[in-house]
Amino acid sequence: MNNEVRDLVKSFINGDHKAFAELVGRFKKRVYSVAYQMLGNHLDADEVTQEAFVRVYHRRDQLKNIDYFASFLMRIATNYAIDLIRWKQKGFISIDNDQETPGSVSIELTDNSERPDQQFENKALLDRINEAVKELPPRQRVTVILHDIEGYSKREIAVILQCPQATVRSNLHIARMKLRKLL
Amino acid sequence: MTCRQTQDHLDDYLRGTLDFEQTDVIKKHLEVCSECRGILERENALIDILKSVGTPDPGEIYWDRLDNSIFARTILDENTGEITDKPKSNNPVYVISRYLIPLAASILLLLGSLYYSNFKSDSVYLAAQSGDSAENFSGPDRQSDIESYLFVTIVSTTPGSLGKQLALLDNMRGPK
Repeated sequence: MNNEVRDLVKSFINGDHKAFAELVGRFKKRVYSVAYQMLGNHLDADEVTQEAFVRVYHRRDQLKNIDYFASFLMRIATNYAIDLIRWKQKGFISIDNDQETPGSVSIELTDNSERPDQQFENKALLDRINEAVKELPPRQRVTVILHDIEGYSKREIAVILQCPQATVRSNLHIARMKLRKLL
Repeated sequence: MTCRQTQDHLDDYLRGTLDFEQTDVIKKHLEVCSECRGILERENALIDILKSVGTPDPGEIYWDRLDNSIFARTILDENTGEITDKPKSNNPVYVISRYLIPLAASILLLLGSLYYSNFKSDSVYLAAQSGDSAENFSGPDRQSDIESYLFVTIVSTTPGSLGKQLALLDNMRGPK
């Protein structure tokens, strides 16, 4: 964590609201992205992002080490997202994965192929990836998203998920095996 | 290095997080081991596919709205709609509205109850002093006066829900 963020976190813990606003600005896209990858739709990602920041604000006294602010925030967000996935799986909340922001595209293609047939193939492949990721149990899903899509290290994921690095490694291994079969 | 050891470190090798010595050992192993090389290629292909999954940007209007939603639930001043400098718990307006108004209302209620119960006690005492029998007790509706007195006393002294307190009052009335 760079010094600027560290100062902001310190000020935020001491009750500086402007520092909190600045932190929201810096971390909101990261939280939204992970939430979107985990839940697959805008409305749930929005709920997780809002709730994560509100909870961080109210639980700032629990943040013992300011260096772990990002992990603390991400832990709250991923735990909330995991709860949401489990509630949906149990049928407490109606699942509507087609809820998107008006006008947004659900998947972005990194390969900007000009040929329509190639675009169609890529879109189909990415749809399959999204579906395959959704098939994974919540802990494996969050591990593979944080590691392989968002680029977090195993050590960072272990801090976020509050588990040993060996568990992260094992979850990642199992998740990738399942994904390989599903794809 | 064995195949198992190599495979354990393939992920870090792909990310480039191993030190020079470890990287070199794995590189040499991969040159001679087709099985590990195959695993490396499959891992690499899967990670490439996963990395191609992106998150759509909901746009600036959404990000502004998100900020407002978060701030409204945390740091926005309820009166001015602007970000406050002080935490809510130190803000005098917040302290007054959160604690002092309910406290003042409780005190008023308590004083009202005490005044009411004293007034009724005095009435019963005066009635007893004047030698009135229970049947001749003055007042337009003796039964309801006593019930009101009992109700205020029970509600102000008995812990528990209002339902329990009403049930207690019913028991005290006895069978109809």
